[in-house]
Amino acid sequence: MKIGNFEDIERIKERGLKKLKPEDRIRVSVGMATCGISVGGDAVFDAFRGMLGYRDDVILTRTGCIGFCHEEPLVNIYIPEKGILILHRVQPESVKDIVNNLDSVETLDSVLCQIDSWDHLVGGKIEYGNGFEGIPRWNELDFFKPQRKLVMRNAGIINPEDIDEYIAVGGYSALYRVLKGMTPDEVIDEVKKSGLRGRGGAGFPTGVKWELAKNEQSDVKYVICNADEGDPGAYMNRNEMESDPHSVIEGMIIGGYAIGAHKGIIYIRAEYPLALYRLQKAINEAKSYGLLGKNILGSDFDFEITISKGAGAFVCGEETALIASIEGETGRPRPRPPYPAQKGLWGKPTNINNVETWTNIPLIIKKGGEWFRQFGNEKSPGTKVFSLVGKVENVGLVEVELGTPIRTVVYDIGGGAPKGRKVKAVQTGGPSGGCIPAKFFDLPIDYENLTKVGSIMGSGGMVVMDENTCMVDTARFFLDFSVDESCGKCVPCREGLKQMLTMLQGISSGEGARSDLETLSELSETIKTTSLCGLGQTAPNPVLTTLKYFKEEYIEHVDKKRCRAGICEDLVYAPCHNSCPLGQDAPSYIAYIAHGEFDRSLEVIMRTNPFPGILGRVCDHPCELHCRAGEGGDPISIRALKRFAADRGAMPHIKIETEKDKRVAIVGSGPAGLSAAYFLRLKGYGVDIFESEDKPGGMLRIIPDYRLPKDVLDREIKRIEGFGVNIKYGIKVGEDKTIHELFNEGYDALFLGVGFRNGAKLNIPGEEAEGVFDGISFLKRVAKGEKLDLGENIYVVGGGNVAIDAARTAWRIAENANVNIVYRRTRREMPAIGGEVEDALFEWINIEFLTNPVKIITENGRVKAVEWVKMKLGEIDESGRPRPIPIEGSEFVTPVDTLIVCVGQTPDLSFAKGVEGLNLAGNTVSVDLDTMATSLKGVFAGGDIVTGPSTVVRAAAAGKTASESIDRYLKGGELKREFKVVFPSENVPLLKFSAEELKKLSLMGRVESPKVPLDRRRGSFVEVEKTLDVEAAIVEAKRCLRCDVKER
Amino acid sequence: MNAKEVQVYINGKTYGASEGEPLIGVARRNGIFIPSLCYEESLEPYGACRMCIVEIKNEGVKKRIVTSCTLHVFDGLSVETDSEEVLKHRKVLLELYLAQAPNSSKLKELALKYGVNRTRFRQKVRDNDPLNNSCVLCGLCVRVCSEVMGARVISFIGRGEKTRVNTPYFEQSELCLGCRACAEVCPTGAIEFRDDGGIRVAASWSNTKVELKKCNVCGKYYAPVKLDKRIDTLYYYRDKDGELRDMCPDCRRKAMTRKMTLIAENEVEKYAK
Amino acid sequence: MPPLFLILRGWLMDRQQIEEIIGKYKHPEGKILSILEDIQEVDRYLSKETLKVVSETLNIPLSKLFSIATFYSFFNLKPVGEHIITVCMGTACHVRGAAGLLNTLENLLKVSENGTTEDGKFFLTTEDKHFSLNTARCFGCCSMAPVVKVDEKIYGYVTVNDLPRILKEYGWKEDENR
Repeated sequence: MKIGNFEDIERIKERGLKKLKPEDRIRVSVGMATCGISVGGDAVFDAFRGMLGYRDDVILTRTGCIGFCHEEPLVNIYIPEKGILILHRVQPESVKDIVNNLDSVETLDSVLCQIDSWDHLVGGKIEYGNGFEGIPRWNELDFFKPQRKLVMRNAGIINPEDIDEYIAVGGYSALYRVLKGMTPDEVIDEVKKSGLRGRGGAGFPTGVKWELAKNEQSDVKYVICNADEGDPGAYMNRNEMESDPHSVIEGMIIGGYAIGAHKGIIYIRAEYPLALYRLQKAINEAKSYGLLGKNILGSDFDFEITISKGAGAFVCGEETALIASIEGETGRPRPRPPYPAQKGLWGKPTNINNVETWTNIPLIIKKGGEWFRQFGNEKSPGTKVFSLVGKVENVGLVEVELGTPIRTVVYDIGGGAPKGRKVKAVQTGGPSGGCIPAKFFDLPIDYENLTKVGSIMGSGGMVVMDENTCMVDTARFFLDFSVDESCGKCVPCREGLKQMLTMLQGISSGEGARSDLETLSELSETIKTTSLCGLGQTAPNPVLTTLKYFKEEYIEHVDKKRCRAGICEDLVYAPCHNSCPLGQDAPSYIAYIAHGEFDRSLEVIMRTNPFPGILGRVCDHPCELHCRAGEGGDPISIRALKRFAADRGAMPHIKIETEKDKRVAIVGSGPAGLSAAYFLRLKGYGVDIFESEDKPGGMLRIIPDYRLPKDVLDREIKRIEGFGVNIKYGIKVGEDKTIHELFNEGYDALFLGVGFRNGAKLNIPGEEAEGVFDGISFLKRVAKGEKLDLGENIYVVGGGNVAIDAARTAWRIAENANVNIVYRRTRREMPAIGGEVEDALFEWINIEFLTNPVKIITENGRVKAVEWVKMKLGEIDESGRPRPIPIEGSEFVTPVDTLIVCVGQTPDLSFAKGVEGLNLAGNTVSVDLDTMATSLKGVFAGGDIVTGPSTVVRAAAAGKTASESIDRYLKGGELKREFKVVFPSENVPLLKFSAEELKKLSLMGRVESPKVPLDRRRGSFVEVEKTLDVEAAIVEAKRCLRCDVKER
Repeated sequence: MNAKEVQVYINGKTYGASEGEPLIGVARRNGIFIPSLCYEESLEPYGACRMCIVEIKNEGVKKRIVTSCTLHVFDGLSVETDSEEVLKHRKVLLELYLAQAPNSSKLKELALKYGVNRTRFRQKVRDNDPLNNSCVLCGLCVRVCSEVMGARVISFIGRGEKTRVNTPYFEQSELCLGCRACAEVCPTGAIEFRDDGGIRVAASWSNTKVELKKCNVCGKYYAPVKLDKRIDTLYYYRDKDGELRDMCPDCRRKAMTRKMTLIAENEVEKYAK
Repeated sequence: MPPLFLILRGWLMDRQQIEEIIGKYKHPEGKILSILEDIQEVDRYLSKETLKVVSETLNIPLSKLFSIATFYSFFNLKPVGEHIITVCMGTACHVRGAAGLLNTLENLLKVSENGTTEDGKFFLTTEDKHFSLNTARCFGCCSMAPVVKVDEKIYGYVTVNDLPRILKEYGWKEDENR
């Protein structure tokens, strides 16, 4: 029946409302947009249908996607009087349970949130019920709180295949308003007033664009909806069409009226069959209600819409190419001018807008342009739907006001990167956009700002990248896409992009040169300036932005043949090996364990690791962070497996090369020095270590026993001594001997591994008082066996490994005290090893975040209390982390008996006193980081004294690099380091697994090391972590994906 | 058609033009050299080669570097054809061209004009390329065959940098007229035809063969048979009695001269009487 | 999905059937692409004969049709395998390791680069025509990246180890002498 007047609409509205809110019946709506279906939504729907088929007290329908794709399949259950409950991650198996508990659905585990009322904006607020007790409202969830649903006002609530429901929430009332009382000019004015900008990417003011087409004189005009959403990773438009197709149609009819067009065409990509189906259905429904066709709503305006399919060409998203495609040509863009508004489809004035732009129109007409302007900011009013994908916890469709900072979207809504990794950058605008580094995440998202940093808004794709994303590879990926999708008409795009891709592939495989970087820039400029259409003009953006913000990665690829993220195939043997500073061949040693050959495993380890027993216990395992099994699963327990091999395997026979008659002096027996000593000794050099203390190990010795038992430490160092390394104790270089004296004694080269042995100060009043320790001294004294009385209230300030060590040590010494760690930032920013922090929390150590000490209150020279201040997160600094800022007036005082300050370390620079020619950079020694050579001939340095406080493995790696440089130096050759891609060639054969075993391995979580139970830990320094037992180790080793095997 | 007369400035000098005509036409008309590969006056501007770029000097223009074939002149337009920016981009483009079509001597000549004698980029060389590794995909052959001759023998195949021009399925075509308009219009000399006795072979178009007409008088093969109708139509008004059919241009000229002379002599005679 | 018997019969639509499809489209906008897509839905690829029939019926030069068929990624110009495996190469999937999946599939199926057609489309078919392998730019299932589609079924969170199992569901046999 055709709608002619207001009463008709009201009647349908009533009917629709009864469907949305049935009076005495429960309504179950299953989320059935493509994202929901792809994770099993259709199976869930079928399960419900199977169970509910015979019942008439429950209605079963479909709905679209509310945006929380990560939690799909979602099911809405409307209970009369109460409201809607949204259930998440519903599986077909759990449907039975749900159906059997429909009268108490709110008690089910799978309830995510509730909707008691929902503002459909155009149709006003609908009260769905009085609500459920104790269940969070949808907009109280972190994911939805910062969002503002304008475009997605109906998505996930109404049935997209029923026009009555659309009308029930106010649908077509805007069209009614237009046809019953607005002139085309008035419509255009309203759109202009709203400031709406094209949501397809370019952001051209929509009202102005409409006006251009309106002013053209022609009997025939066209209005087109660009639904060729081609950006990979962007699927907002698809959802808009699948969840609320009528909003697009209504928008187009209004647009047609304003411009004077009677024909609308939706150009939709072929890869969207469901959207196409729903749009066509909606068109048919609208036609049957007289909302399309002749004399719409009884006016003298005719309008019809047809759908035109694309066929897999991204370039057809460009206006002139789109038009060519509709005309039955290949999708090659045409030069502009003339613009489509003047000469478009079939040569007639044509207005093209993106899907999302159209969905905004009914809203703007009904609520007014002024109303719209209250969202967003001045130059970019309104909202934008972004598809938040990639390395982010909460993948989904997010609608926020323009002007929202990136950090809100990535961290607050998205939840940051999974597995505690650091977010490195965000890519907006798809292949035409750019990568924005984390340090710019305070940037408000709008058209101008994104362009300013070199990116574009695009259609709204937002891909989050973490530290395991290689920016060179990312640029290459996008260029590959653009090369594939280029129409090929103009030379800069067709030939230029291809040449750029060739260069990037070369860089990615270690064959690039520095000159390539310049050529890439030059070529990018020409392609941007001279390309015929937007595809070519924007395709170089990913390269330009990554070159600008991540140049170090390019330089590493080119100069050092290194891909730090572990992605570029030709440069990476395996991500674990690639990220290990020592270059441990983890895939091989793990594979040997899987084969049961523990001795061979240890042999492989010791090729590049001087003390596996130590590193197997205390390493911060960058390998596990990059482990590919950790993508969508658990990373392999690589460190525990290394420890297993160290504890279980027999010491291999290690050959020392022919004895050389050169001698090297090593200053410091910490990890850097020990490592340099080990590798130099294996090369046959005479090695003497000068240690100022009476025991070896440096910082290793202050690591508490419960982490690194002293007998293990001594055993590992004894092994190194066993190769012929002499450690001379009690000699402090700089006081007892000078560097020059050492050379005079006949040493041919020197390695400085003196570390950062002292604790840094807070520099607040009262720090000199008794009971205040710096972390390093505290741990040293405990390691020496001193008995300390720490009192009842122990506070440790800091967030690094020293702080955790100090806290857990204090907890053991002072059995009845309460131990607290105070850190000025949040958990996410804590630099300590994740496992250590977890253990600290397990041991009931309290961690206060966002708190900082202000002053120490003393009595009789002893600490009595501390005044603290609460912090809040401020602007993001260079490191990409938000700076903590004190909150005024939030100071508070607590009683403190012992305060341990672990806020940093400082070096003892006495070794450099009076040494001419040894360049320092602040309080570190300057070296060439490739060779570890200092400015003094024959003197090398590595470890903390070069980098500042860092980790054991990095110090060991520095020692190893130095040993190679010293070797070259002593042989009289070129000191300069040659960078070559060399992969280990152990080639441990792959194990064959049965299908069940494979399934079990892929489903199981990771095997963790057994730990001493809590009650045995307090008051004791017994080693907390135990070695894996044989079975556990073999199973865990089998989980390894063997990324080292390229051909399978 | 009454188009307004306007003044434009090219490289500092003023020239007259019709409002809305493409700038490249104005320049060429006045002997100013702007290189181009895909521009053909009788066809709509195509915008593929990007060689005809110029820099707009007027204030407040967002896009300064534009192709002059799509730059519709307005009163007061001021451009520079060889500014620093234009030359910078033109040279890079030429390097891309040299890499794409390394075998074309015409391209090498053009490049030398701007001091480009080598390319940094990887050269695209295809074994047994029917277009002699000289094609720059300017589209002129396709457009001429389709829009001017109406034969539609060849088209673009594929997309992006894999695009090629040839007959469907790289098979011999029945539709080729043998007119050689494609080879004539090709800016890089990529298209090859071979006349082999009475058969014209379009070597570049999958060795499509076209029959040639033989001159009744001298026996030379002078034109494709398929163009018969069109040639004869040209001469129709002078050849109503079909005397000049099946003659090569040389013989036809001689025959026409004889005919005209005869007619003239008759007239003179008439007068004389 | 077209009825099974139409696929299994192994031969393509005849002129009458093609004309029927053409007749469905009354308005000129976008009709060529829709016609070709409808034909491909049944025949699974566009043969030379089919294109010739379309060319004659619609009075569009064959060169233009061929140009269109080779321009748009959607169209297959060579017969396809029984099962089509598509690896999503969208950004989200790429960032989660799709390239490795593609490599492994190429090795498992023993298809090589020689499968590309002269128009340069990436579409590899096994010798026994059992499987065809190609890529897509994005299915929009980014929440379950990386994604692999076999025929109409979508598999999410796919790792290299899952691939043999998935292929076996469609009758793939692991080769003994590898």
